[in-house]
Order: sequence, then C-alpha cells, then structure tokens
Amino acid sequence: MRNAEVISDYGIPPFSIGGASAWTLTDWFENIYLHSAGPELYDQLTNHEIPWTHPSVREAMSLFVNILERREWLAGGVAGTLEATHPDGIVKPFMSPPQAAMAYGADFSVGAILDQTDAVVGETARFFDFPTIRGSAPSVVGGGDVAVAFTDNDETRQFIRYLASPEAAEVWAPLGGYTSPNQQVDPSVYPNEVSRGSARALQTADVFRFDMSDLQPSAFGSTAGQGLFGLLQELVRNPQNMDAILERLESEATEAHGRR
Amino acid sequence: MTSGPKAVGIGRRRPRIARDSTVAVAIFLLPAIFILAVFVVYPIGFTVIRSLFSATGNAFVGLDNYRRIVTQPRTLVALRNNAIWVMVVPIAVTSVGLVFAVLSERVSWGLAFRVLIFVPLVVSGLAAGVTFRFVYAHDPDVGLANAVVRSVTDVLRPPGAYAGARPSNPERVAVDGETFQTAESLTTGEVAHFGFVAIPSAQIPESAAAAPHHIDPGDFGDPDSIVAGVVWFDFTRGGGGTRGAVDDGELGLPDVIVHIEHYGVTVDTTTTDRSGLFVFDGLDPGEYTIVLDERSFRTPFGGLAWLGPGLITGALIASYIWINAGFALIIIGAGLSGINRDYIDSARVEGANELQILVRITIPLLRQALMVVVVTTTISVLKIFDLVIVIAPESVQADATVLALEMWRASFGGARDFGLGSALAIVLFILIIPAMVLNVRRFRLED
Repeated sequence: MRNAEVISDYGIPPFSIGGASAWTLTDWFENIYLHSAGPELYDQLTNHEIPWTHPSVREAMSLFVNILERREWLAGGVAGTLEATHPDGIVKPFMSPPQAAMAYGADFSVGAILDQTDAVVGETARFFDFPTIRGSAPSVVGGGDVAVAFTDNDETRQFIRYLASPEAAEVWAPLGGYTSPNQQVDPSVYPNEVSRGSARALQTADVFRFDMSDLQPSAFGSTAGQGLFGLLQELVRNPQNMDAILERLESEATEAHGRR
Repeated sequence: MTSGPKAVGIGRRRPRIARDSTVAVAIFLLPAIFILAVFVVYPIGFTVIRSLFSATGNAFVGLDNYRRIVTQPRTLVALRNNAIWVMVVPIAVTSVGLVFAVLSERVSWGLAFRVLIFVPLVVSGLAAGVTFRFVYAHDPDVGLANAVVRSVTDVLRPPGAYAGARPSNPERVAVDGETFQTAESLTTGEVAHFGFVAIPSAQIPESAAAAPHHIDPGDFGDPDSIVAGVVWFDFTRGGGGTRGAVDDGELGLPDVIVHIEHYGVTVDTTTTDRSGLFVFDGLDPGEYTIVLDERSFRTPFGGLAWLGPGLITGALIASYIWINAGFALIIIGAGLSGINRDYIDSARVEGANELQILVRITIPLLRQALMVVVVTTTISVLKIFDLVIVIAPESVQADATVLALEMWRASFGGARDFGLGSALAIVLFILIIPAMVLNVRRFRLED
C-alpha cells in the first residue's frame, strides 16, 4: 500500500485491473483472503461452511476496498477498469507511456505482455509474488487443467502418468504459459523470469489452494453478471456498498449451493 | 411461415388433379413435412416441455420457470431492455432509412451515398460489434465517440497543465473542486507552500527549475507589503523527502495562475516563475488568502462511460441503427422508385412544400415498403444477441441484457439451467408470433 501511494504520487496509477474479466477480481479476493484469513477458513468459505458475511471475509474485502476506493489508483478509473478485459489490463503497465505500475496476472498472462508490448521480461517486466499480509505464510492460489481419461487401460494410465512427470513438464514448460505442479521440475526449464518466478512461488509455497471461484457452483462462481462475478464488479463500481454486497453474496451463495 | 401461401396454391390446382393422385401429393409433401417436423415442430414441442422442468431436468416444476422470468431482477431487466429495443429501433431504423432514401434521390451522387450507407450491412454483426467496442471505449485516445466529445469540451474548457494533481500537504491547502487555496489566511510577510503530487512527469514543462528551499519575503522589498509562496512538485524519486517541504531536486511548477484575495475580493493576480515562485507586493498590511486558479489544474474531459450501465443500451441501439440503416434505405428506396411521380409533381404544382409532400404523399404511398422494414426489424430486434454480447463488457451485461442473451446465458453461460433457458426461448417465441403473423399476412396480400 505504501508503494502504491508513492507510485500514485509520482503520477502513475499503481494498479491495473482487467475488471471486465471478472475472474481477475475473484483472483484478487482469493489471494487476499488466503493470505489474510489462512487456508482453514479459505476451505470453509469454499465449501460455504462459513457465510460470506463472516468477519474474516469482511476483513479481506475491506483490504480490497482500500485499493478500490482510491479511484486515482486504478488505471483508467472505474470505467476503464470495468471495460478492460484481462489481456487489456495486464498490458497497461508495459505500454509507452505506461498507464499503470502493477498488474496482477497468472502464468499465462506473460504471453499477452510479450505479444502486445515491447516489454522485455526480466528487464522492463518484473514479477513479484502476491504480497504477504501480516506475515502470512507463502501461499499460492492456482487454477489448473485436469487430464481426464475416457478409456481405462494401461496405455492411457501410462500416458497420464507421463503428462504429470518432470520429463513431460520439461517439454511443455519452455513453450511458456504453463506451470507444472510437479515439484521436481527444474525451474531453469521455464522460458523467462516471470514463468520461473511463478514456478518457484508454486514450489516453495507452504500453502496451495485451488481457485475458490472455480470450485463454486457455476451460477455463483463463474457466470457473468451474477454471483461472485457480478457482485465483485459491483464492488468496483460502488466500494462504499461493501456490506450490502457481502449480504447479497451470501444470499446468492446460499441459493446456488442449495441448488447443487 | 410459407405454409400458408403454399396451401392456397395447392387448393387452387386440386380440380385439375385426378382424385387418386392424392397419394402422390402426400408422397411429394412428405419430405417437406418430415424436415419441418424434425427441425421445427419437434424442437418447439420439446422446448415447451423442457421449460416445465427444473435446471437438471429431473423434476417437474410446472410454471415455476416462467414465474422466475417475471420475478428475477435479471430477466426483468432483459424484458425491459427488449421492450426499449422494440419501441425505439424499428421506428428509428425506418425513419432514418426513409430520410436517407428521399435524400439519396435528390443528390447527384445518390448511388455513391446509397452504397456508403449500405456497406455496414455487409460487415458481419460480430465484426461491427468489435469495432463499436473500440468506438465506445472510455479512454478518448482509443474511443472515437469520446474523442469527438473531448474535442468539443477541450475548446469550451481547456484542460490545465497540471491536471490530476493532488496537494501533498492537505492540512495547509483547502480544495474546492479544482481550485486550491490556503487553508488559513496569511498576514503580509508570510509565505504560502503549495506542494503537489500525482503529476505525470510528461506534464511538467522542460523549463521547470528547482523550487526554492527557503523564501525570505524581505528579498523582494518591505516584508510588510509582501506575500510570497511556492507551487512545486513535492515528489522525490523513490518516495524519499519530507512531505510538505521543498527537498533537494524537487521542481517548481511554472505558469500557475495565482490570485490573492482579501476577504473574498481578488486583490491581485500573478503567475509562478520557472521555480514555482510567486510574489505579491505593494499590499496593505492585513490578512490574505492565496487561491490557485483552476485553469492550471482542470482535468481534461475523462470520457463518457458509453459502455457503463447507464448508456449501454443507447450505445447498442445506435450501433444497430448504423448497421441496419442501409437495409431500410434499400427497401424504401425500391418502394420510392415505384411511386408514380405524377402525384408528387402535381402536389408541388399545387404549392405543397417538401415536408407536406413527404408526410401527405410519399409516406402513404410507401406504406407497403415501410411496413416491410418495420416488421422485419422488429423480428430481428426481438432476437438481438450478437451486438449485446460483443459490445457490452461482461461487467455491464447484466444491465444490457436482452431475452436472447439471457436464454443463452441461463442454458450455456455457466448456470446450465436448461429449464429457465427453455422458458425464455418460449417467451421469445411467443413475442415474435405477432410480427410473424403480420409478415405472413403481408405475403398473402402480395399474392
């Protein structure tokens, strides 16, 4: 936050958020929540065992609101944030002149930065882990692809096992946009500093949790304009309404989990 | 839709066909009936039935899905937006097309004009939508719509050199909109400090020099007749330095317009020099307030949020009209060329003006063509989908939504609620029926 203040004083909005892609907002919240509330509460909230109006949720959301309510901290202001998709948002810090200082992204975001801007990863584009909150343990929120076998035989199993192995990762990783969950993969196979950084963060993290919104019933966790997606965008628009938004999150979560 | 006229045709011919050939007729009709049944009747029937079941299809819920349509805020918004579309767009497209058609007959380059208006129609709706998303972008450097608005507002209200600046010592600087003034009044012989942050380095003029560390009013004459001050960029790279104090290397802000007021009355006006310094002298001893003129700090027009919740449906409708004006122009233009000119010429001879000719002669004679445009546009507007999903960012799709979008989103957009999706499809179908009936009746009339 102090860095953001300094950057803002210099005359550049510190944060670029591609808020038209609502998952960037859920990822922001999930990271803040995992760091501020810890993995146990994170799991309980994921399973909706604690309500969205729980004090820990309120606290994490307030931390997010601290950023959102500083309109001058957001690249493009509220309107600019809400009409930028993730690829639009992630490249703003790397444009000339830069339109923001920091953007939150995932391992595959590097592709957009390299394709759309002149930034050189490791020189003009640098990576840092999501900051710790009050000395929280190194924690990572991740999404992932799951390999599904439709045929249950030896060949398929061997192939799936191979896909999970360090050898397969060493073929895949240099292509970029991919981080292997296998801890034995040598970080040096990753093509640039950002990919290496996210791989290192994943390997050294004490806590790993799967993306919360991806684990929700889809009506609540991943449908545009409603549930988490719609309400976090509403939070960007009206951060002062946080309490009402938390209550609506709770009622939509109750309905969606009940329907499952 | 075309089964009506077909049946009429067969009926007329029947006397010429031998009775025992009804079998042959049935055989010839069979393929068409089969295709119609499989691809039209069965899906409609299945959708009706599916709309009475729950999201997963396991439980019969009766009319509950329809109840949700008229009670859920989201679908209500969709219904409202569809109503707006249907009320505004067919009339607007027809009017625009009519005006263009009449105009294109009058100008010598009418053909070129028609082609120009028609071009958007050959572009795919998706591509046009993507283009309009850029047109409506909030940043005036990207969005054409806001660039046009800004070029007007910049003339009416030129932005200041230090737009966006914030005072670094808010306890000493009072903010009133975009003017800044000393929070407490000064007596002669005192010095005002206006530190500012958040000024992009590109906005600071090349000529700016380091701000003076210390200002002694005595340097400029009798201290009792002087109020001096400095306006500077209170930022040291890396975030060092003391807030509210002039540190080494911090630059003054040149050319800021400064007023000095005595109980609300402006006594004198000056501008800061290269180092941000300003001096008022020859003052009567007393209390003064220093005011920085808003002209130096005015923020440029930030852009209308065309893609925000308030303007989105209007923006979508405008883009739809831009695309479909060409269609209306061609249909109405064809109708226009079929009109008997004698009516218009004799009206003119009788002394009717152009507006009277348009309203009293042209429009009634064009009734057929105008109806075609209105009905066709109504149908296409009821099922509008592509422009909404492409132009509206996800964050406002809940505000821009229409029935077709809701139908798709409920079924395939994550919720996978096929019950609600089917119910929405049926509602949409029922809404389209009146327009379809009109169309079919028109086909019959033309026969």
